Amino acid sequence: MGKLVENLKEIKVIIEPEGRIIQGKRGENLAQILKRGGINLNTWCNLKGICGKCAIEIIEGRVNEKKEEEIKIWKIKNWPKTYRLACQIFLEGDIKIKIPEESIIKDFKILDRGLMIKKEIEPAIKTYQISFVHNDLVRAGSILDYLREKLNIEELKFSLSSLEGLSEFDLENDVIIYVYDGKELVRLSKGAPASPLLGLAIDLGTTTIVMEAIDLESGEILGRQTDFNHQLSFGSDILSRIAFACTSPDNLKKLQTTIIDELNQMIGKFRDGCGLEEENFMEAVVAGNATMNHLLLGLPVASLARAPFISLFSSIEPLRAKDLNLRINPEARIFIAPNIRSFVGGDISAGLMAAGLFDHPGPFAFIDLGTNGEIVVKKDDQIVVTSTAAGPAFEGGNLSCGLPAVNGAIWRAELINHELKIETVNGRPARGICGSGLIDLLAIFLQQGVIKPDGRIARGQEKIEIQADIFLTQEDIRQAQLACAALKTGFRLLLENLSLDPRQLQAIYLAGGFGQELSIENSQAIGLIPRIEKEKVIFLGNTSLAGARLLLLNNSSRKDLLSFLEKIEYISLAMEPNFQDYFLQALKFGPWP
Amino acid sequence: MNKERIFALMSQAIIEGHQEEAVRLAREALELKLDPAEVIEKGYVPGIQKVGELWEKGEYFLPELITSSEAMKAAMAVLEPEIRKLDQGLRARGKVVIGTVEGDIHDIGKNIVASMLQASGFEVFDLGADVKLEKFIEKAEEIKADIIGLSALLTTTMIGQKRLIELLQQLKLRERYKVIVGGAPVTARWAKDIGADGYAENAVAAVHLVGKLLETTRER
Repeated sequence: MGKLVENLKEIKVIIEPEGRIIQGKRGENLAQILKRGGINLNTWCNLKGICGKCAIEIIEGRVNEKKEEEIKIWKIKNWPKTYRLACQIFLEGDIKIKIPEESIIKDFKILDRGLMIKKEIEPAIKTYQISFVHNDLVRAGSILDYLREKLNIEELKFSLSSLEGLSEFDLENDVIIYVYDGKELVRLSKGAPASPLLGLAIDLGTTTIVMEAIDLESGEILGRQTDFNHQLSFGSDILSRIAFACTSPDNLKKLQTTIIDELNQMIGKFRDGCGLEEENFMEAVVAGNATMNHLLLGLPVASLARAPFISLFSSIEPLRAKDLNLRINPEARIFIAPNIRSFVGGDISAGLMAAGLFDHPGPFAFIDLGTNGEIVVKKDDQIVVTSTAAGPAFEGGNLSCGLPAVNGAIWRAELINHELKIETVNGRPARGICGSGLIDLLAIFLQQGVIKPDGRIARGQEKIEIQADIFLTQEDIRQAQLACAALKTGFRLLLENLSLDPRQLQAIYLAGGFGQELSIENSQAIGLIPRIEKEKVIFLGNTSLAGARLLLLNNSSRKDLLSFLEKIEYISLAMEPNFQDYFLQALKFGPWP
Repeated sequence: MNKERIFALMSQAIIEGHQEEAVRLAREALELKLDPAEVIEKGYVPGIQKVGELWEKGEYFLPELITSSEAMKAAMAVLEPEIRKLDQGLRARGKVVIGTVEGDIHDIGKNIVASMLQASGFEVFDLGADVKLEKFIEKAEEIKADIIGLSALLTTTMIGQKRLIELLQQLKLRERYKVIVGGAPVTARWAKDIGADGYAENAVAAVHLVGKLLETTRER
């Protein structure tokens, strides 16, 4: 290898093994050059030289000497001689380097299916190892001023409780500090930093809770717990839980304690099952509907359930784990995904974010179908949302043979050679019908003329037998008509609000309970969703959980989300003059437009 | 065309929800100098009664109920002024004040009940949705109503039905009105618990209920 030619103006940074070249200027910072060249270098501490995450290997070329702090990191990490911190190198001439894989920031995939969005791992909580240089300390005047100076954060805030770790450290040893959102000191400790640094992504559903333990540095999901929401014993749906909470302050407290106890149990399982220390969880993100958020915080919910249906908060400052008695690190911060409106909560806002839909020009629609069907329609910069009371029919709720999608529930049906073939969850003997099965059956019976478009069972029968002891009654079909009409009416009014014809939609995204088992053709045949090309209907899966994960791993998404929310307009269906007419029209089964 | 034939067509128009046809027949009846009271009773009322039966059998659903009751109301609007002109004195079957209680903005169900009651010959004063409890009582006093109908569509607003009854008791007016309740989360059990005079599961049942309650009132 020949001697590198030095150039006074332009300096070459050659990256091996690809041999890629990035141009820089004499005296310029190497980390900045690499970032400018599109290399996703991990500059965790913003070029302060204290995190040790931007290591590179010098293969050839002359660079400035290491300073005291870099030497310290270099010793702790036990690096080979050739390793340097890119942020501490100011170029003197051409150099040839290699970048170790661990110095590159990884992306993480947000959704498991549907849209594939990637974001950088950039959590709100960061750790720094700081050593005390006595002269600098004296010059800074106080320990906290020294930390401010070292971290280059002038407005570094702290609370008394976050300084509790101070009692046990001395100036001879390094201190590990945890900074939240680049401005708040939340914890001090000595010894090694929490490893791995952990966070919780929580999908706080009315029926189900899913919690994931996530490594905040790698983005890896280390464990997942799923359970029914234990508040179910106080009421199965949101309104009955609100009604319960409103009966007495004790009841509100009971609902809060129930949910916190359950979350703590789940956290305990991460410790027992995966060896994850509670202490190392420094953050949690909760995505749930407005009522669940309020109940988690023990806040009154009465206003959510009467006109004009207003929540106490939309977005709220992050809370501390100890304020909620959540058994993770007491100083961990809990971020609650902001609510859009009382009936369109943080689960939806986080979900839209996870699917990257705020950046999607549209026009598209997003539907989360449960007992309440939340609908979002976006066209250019306009976003309208609403919530419809679909009722539980599509969750198997109020049907005579209804079941959730559990073993033995009929979840698919089709006609093969004029014969009805059914398929059950896990192939178990059929014992009921769940939502997707109901939709298939309705479409088939409509096609056969067994059910008329007005919902009437033909030939004067009282019920339609599917097999022994499993049937649809006239009343079941009426319930399905009501559920279908509620969604369809909401959908139609939102489209009208943006002067959109459904055929203009580039996509319909389906989130929540319905998965791949839902037949798009049959949903369109009964009129649940409008008729657009099948390829444009996309299943996203659990977007609420994906949203919690995203907000946990990518701090800037939180700010983006809050600014997106300002653009959203909420439409109250009951206030729309055409609501009743459209609703009555929509009761008729059949494709639209 | 003989009277029986016209009455049958009227009934048919209501059953099928043909508003234009129902109105046309009403005008024709007036041209033929038929007695408007008899026209309502023998032509249209059997139609709306049949609609109620079809609903009860599960053959009719909300859209049919609405179109039929709208057709009925349109025909009545043609005939009623004539009855007044003839000074027969319009004998409404009874007066009902109806509305959705405060805190609740859902009113499709209540609208359907109001429409069916009206179509069945009751005089209905619909106060709309999110109605203050005092307003129900004021209106009932003003028009000397027989019945107050309260709709609530949320578990959380049902309490308004209970409060209205308590309010009537405080004002010593409880005996003056029959209070009936309805709405998706409302049950017969709830109606009994709060001391309401009746509960109806749907619009057709509400027509029967109001009819029955007025009979017992008259008997007293």
